[in-house]
Amino acid sequence: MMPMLIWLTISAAVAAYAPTQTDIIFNHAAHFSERSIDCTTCHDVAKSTMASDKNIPGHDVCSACHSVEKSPDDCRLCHANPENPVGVIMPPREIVFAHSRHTGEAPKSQDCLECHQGVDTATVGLSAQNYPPMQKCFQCHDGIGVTADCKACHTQSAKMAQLVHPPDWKHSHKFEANAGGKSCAPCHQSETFCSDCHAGDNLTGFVHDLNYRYNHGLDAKAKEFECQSCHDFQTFCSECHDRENAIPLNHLNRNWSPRNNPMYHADAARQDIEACASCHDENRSTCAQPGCHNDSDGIRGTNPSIHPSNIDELGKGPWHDDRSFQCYQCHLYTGVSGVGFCGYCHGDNGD
Amino acid sequence: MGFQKNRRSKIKSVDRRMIFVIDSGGIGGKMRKMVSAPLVFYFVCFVASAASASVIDANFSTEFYGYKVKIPEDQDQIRSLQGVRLGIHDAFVPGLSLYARGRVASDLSNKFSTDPDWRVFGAYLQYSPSKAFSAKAGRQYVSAGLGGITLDGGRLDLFYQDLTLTGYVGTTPGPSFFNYDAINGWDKSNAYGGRLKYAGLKWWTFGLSFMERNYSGNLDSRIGGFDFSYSRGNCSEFGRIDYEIFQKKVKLVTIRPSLRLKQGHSIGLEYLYRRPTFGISSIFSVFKNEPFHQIRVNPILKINENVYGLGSLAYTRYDDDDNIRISAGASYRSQSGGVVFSDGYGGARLGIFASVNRKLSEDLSAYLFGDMFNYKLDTNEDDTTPSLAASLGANCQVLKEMNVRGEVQLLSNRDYKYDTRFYVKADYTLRMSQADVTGGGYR
Repeated sequence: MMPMLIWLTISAAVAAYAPTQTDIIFNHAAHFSERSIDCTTCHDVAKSTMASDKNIPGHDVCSACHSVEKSPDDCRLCHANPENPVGVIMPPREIVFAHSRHTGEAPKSQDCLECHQGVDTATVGLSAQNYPPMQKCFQCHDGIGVTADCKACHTQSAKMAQLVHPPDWKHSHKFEANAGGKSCAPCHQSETFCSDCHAGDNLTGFVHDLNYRYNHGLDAKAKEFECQSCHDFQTFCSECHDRENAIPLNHLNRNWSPRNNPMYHADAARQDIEACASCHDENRSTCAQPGCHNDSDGIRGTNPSIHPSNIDELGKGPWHDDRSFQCYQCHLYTGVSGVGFCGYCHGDNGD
Repeated sequence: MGFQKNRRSKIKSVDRRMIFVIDSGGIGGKMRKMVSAPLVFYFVCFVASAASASVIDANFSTEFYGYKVKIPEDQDQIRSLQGVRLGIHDAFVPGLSLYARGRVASDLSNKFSTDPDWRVFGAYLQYSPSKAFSAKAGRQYVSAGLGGITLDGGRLDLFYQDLTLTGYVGTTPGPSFFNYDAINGWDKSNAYGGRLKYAGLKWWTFGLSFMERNYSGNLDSRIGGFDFSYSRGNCSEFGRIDYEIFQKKVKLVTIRPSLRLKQGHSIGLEYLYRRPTFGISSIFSVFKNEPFHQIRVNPILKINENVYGLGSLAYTRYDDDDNIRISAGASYRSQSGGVVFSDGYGGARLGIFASVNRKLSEDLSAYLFGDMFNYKLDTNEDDTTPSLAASLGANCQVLKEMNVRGEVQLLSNRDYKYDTRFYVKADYTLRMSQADVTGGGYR
């Protein structure tokens, strides 16, 4: 448990670190909420047709109420560095967006707040939280009423995958998907998107190395990769291993045969029974062959290769309530005291 | 009567399995095929609903793959794979959609008893008339907390404020390649479960999930799980714990915090605890199954806008052994390369890989991918096995709706000193909409 606790501590520390940054000194709340100034009084977005439009008010707009005489005190009101004010420099925009097509000719403040949530209460400039996430766009751009095509908004849609996904995305995307995939859905709307890779035929080596047929044992045995994410290991492995008679290397060792060394394969089984189960099932032909794990003398519990030595001390075990329990792979449930498997413990009088 | 059954093609339905089994004798010997009824059903639905749908999103692909295989002697094979993906929205009534994805493969140079090999990855109807609920019926992949499974059945999602309740039930198909499209009976294989997700806390999502699987009438697993995710600014975290309820064992614990720094660097830490568990009825479950712990660190170093340094260090601790894996490399735009090293339980590997992608024109790009390894699957082996895989290919956007890709592969491995393969794929994407409004503006 210790590694788990250490990890939880590290995780909690990382979770606590989440920087919030702002570059703008402007109290939206004081203007919008306290003085009831509409958004469009300062932001003339009804005519904005490009995402790169500078919809930020200039001195001419501010001067309607404020003195902008370029005295240090006046500058300090809005500029963090009044000695060298830079104003607002619009960053290059990759997206295609026209406010005018979304707001109409006479937008109301509530329309703006629909996407720019929290601006009405922001007191120290804006952050990314005040801009609509892509999920918001997809409320309308759902691919049904309005297009959800990446190219409709993103000029560099071909590079979107690189921009959005970190370089180790091939490994790390499973965590995002596991969490519910809410950030996957906006772009990957196709309901069968995952299967493009996960259920493909791996003909091009995109998911697995082209030689994976030969070296997949490295991953399967070391269990570093979760093969089971896609493959049902109890049946998937045997699909090829059975057909092509591909057996693990240790099976070729002369000691593998119980006749030569009964403990060799037993040690392997104890060390990694999961590896055994990837090809062998629990039916009697695998383990319970005559001369192997087969209690042929009819006296219960006498073959240590089958039952642990304390089999008689286990008491009322789960086989009483579950007819699918492993005991019944070999034994037959009779439900009658004194008869068959039940009779091993329960005498004729039912005690 | 028996003679007639053997000679003539016949179609018989199998009770409760909804499978048509087509047997035919004659040229090429006996051929046995299994074609799923849902495939036919959905095809009929597609044709019928296409006329009334508001949006049809479809992709048709054809692939050819030529290679050599030892079975047991060298034999050339040319596999042909035809695939289709369909999405039909507002079919018949608003909110009703149909999705399907499948492919059929067969060999052009040889006749195999398993050809044509059908696979239906998904084929289901979805009904989402409002934001309050969504229902799906048919073959679908369900991902709901610990439940990640392909089902032939139904799924219902209920949405209420910050709560999402998901429930699913059905039989599980396959997983054999050759009867993947077959629908198992309930008695043979089934699964059901659900998840309750809460996203009411800012930046956090919590989930409680449950899944039970049964094989051949026996309980295979009964698992409960808790998961959470956290995402705020440059920081994210995911955690999950699965608990085998019947066996009273923790099956899996994973937690992965990651942090992206302002300079563009990032680091992901990952802890995994997993206890191998077997079906409750499996005799293997009596063995000692010790869990293993794995720690992985994924640093990404941003050197400039285009160049990143990538690394991965994973250490796995087993009951009485361990394994270490290291990879390091760099990426430049869409090119990347690096080295891989692993040693310990499970074998050893040392190799290099590289990937180069170059855009030759607006519609044409070429790529080269290769890796070379020396590996051994058991650390007790004296000799290592060399392997090489290289692909040279090109992508061409022939039409706005059509993409063609060609690839030559060169392999060297344990079986073949040199094995040359060819791969060609053509994709045609069809999108029709009765009310396609771009909604975009002008740059």
